[in-house]
Amino acid sequence: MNTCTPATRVYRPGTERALGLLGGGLPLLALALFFVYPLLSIGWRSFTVDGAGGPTLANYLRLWSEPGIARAAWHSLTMSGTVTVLALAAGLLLAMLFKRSRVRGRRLMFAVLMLPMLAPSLMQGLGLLFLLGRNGLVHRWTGLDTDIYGFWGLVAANAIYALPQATLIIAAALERTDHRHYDAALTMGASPWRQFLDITLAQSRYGLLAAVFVVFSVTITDFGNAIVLGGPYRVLANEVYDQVAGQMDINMGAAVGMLLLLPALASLLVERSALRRAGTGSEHARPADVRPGRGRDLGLGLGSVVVLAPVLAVFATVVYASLVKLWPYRLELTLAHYHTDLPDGYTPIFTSLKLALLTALAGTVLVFALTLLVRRARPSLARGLHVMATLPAAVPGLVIGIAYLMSFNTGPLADMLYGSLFLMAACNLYHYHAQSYLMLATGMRAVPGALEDAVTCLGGGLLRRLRDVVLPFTAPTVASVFFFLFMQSMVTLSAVVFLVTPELNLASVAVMQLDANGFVSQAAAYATCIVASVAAAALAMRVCATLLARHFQRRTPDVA
Amino acid sequence: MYLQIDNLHKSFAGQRVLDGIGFAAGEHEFVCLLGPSGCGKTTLLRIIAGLLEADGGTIRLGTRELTPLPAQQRNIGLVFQSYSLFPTMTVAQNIGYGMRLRRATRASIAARCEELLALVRMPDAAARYPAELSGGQQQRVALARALAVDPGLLLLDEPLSALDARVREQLRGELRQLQRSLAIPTLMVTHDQEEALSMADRIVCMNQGRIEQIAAPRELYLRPRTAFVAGFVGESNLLPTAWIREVWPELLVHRPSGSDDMFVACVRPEDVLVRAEAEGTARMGAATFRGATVRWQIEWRGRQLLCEQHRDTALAQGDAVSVSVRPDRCTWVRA
Repeated sequence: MNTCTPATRVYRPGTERALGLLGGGLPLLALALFFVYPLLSIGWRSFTVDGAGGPTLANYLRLWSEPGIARAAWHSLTMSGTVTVLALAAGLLLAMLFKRSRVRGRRLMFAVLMLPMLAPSLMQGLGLLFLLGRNGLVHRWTGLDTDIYGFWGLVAANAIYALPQATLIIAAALERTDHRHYDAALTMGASPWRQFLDITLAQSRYGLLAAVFVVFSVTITDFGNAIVLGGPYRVLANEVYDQVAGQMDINMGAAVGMLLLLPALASLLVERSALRRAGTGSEHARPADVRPGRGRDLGLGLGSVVVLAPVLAVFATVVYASLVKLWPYRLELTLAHYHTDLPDGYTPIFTSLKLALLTALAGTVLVFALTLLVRRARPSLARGLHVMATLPAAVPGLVIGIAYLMSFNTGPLADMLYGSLFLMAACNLYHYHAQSYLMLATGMRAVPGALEDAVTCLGGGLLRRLRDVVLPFTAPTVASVFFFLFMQSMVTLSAVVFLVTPELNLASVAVMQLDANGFVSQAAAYATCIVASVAAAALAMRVCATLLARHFQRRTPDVA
Repeated sequence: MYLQIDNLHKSFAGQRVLDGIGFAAGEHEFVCLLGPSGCGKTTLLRIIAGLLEADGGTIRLGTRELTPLPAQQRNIGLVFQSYSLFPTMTVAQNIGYGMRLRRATRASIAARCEELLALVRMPDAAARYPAELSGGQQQRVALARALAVDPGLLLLDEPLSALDARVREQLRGELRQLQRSLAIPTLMVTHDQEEALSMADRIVCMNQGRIEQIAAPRELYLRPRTAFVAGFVGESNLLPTAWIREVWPELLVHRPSGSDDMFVACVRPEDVLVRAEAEGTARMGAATFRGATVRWQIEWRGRQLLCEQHRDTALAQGDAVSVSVRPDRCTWVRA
């Protein structure tokens, strides 16, 4: 046995240590204060009743005894199940169109598909109302008695809302399938249909599973469509909102919110284990060449038009409705609704833009610092941080909103934070934290560790490593995260709806209020403004990411 | 000695990767750390560079105690297998990077850069980007970047492993010549025994976190001390004591005393002599053609022996032969 001489501690310069402490401490502190703390308080509040001190199951027992809630839960499940089946079928069709066909006009179809991601989720609701409501276009053209409120309206709106996400997930899975499987099948004489069943479907099964869970949890926790279209068909989101905003029973709202946590949490766990299993063997996968096939292209093209036409119709109708005099009676074109007679005019849109900018700036910095910390941390610590950073994916916006309401409306921090833009920015950041973090963590993997070591050996400190190695390699991803946060902050409704105040209103909430008060044309105009600004941001993101990527591609050596 | 390393320890998650490592190197010496992957040689290099902290032990360079210094202040040049140049900087900016950090003047950086580019035989590459260079050229630039700050020690982490065989051969010679002319102490990590044998003044052979043997290349090949070194550096026939006692008792003369399983005999394939003989008890087995030589497997007394012959030998598989070994070509190594 050797006797160990004690290790000599390495001396590090003070500035370096301070920077490291700040860069690691700040994101951890923010995560603890603005995610863990609110979540713990909503969990705790769901076990308490106002007036009575100790923990109690009273709220949960009431969940069973109140017939409204049990019914709403049943409604939520059937509605989300139906949406999942529809969105999955349509998503598979579209994914095949984009990845496995040579249909012309795919770029245009992709742009249409992306529309729902550029708008607050109540935009589908509004559009469907304008088209299929009791007084909608279809009724006025055909005289049919149409009624969109209720089950089928919700299903249609949510299916449109979830369609781009389902398609993107399935398309990514298709892309991972190795072309050699198809080459092998072809040499063995498999028909295209057999190839579809035995390779395409079989190889992308984990992607399909992930899509099922994402669509289901997005739908069951959606708020915007439920508020606009739910009507007599009440779902859990309506119950939560009414318990909190209507009856001011926050504890009860917390209990219903905890109920909403279950499907999302389950889906996160399943998705994670599915990804882990799907993760092997795709290292050297190369996407398949698309061979010509007229029958296939005709089928996929027609099917996709059938699926995408309603999406385009819904969004076009909202824009159209914002431009006519008195929907749906006087259809002369006018810009009058863009001269809003809201008391605070366009202030909510500017507030939303300010909020989006703040969220994107602060969020990108914090998430960047966190991924940097995870990169340098010991494996055990890194795993723990990784789980913490991705946990927000399992928490629906409604739950985060109520949690913030409970934690910062009263209590020690209320004076400083309640009703501030800062609090809303934190709320948006942690609502979309998991996605931003995963994007940056993936980008961070492209940073060569050896180059960082080279800088260190040549005498460079932490700032030098950041400036000369980490930032140049992650710049495209950083830009993507910035715009992702910006766009999500512009369109989100479910969490911030609990945080707005009369003095500080947001555009997406204003659309909801306008619609609720019957100003449908102005709601449409407002929604159109949001879509326009988000579309501009999306365009800027594409340009930015492409330019940055090109800048580095030209000079990046081909290292395997 | 110039570089003095004593009793270094390092564990990862309870697993010992370095166990009491100690050796020294002279001021102008080229030392190779040789060992299979996972033997801890790269960990050792990273600890010397300051990129990893050891659990215990000391490192001295000249009169300086390195152990408590952070990597930035050790003034050590490091070259990686992956070249690791800044993709967005030109060759000249890459080479001048360390000097810019030390706030050298523009003129002195330019002059030094020109001097180094001449030294690595790329006088016209200053304005080019790494992506426009071949692997060998990139590694030359990386070497120039490491040398630009006049490091007290040059560390090379498998610097030639990513290169094509021909370029590797050429760069081996250049690197060795450069090190001689600059007389800079150099420590190179490699798993390629041929590379180590042809380049090093001395080789530190490592296995499982321990040093097996430290010796000059010739000594290491001719007089390995352990069965691991005998098997890792070159090829060898490792023969147990009992078998030798039966077959070639004359080889026992040089055997150190100890129980039968403490030592085995190491005989290099080129030292096994065969002679065609009708009543010989050994049989020629399969042959592998290797260009200048042919490697034979020989079946004899229940063992397979490796034997290297000139490619012109007139032997064929199945021939009966007799086998012998010159006593002074047998080394006894620790099992």
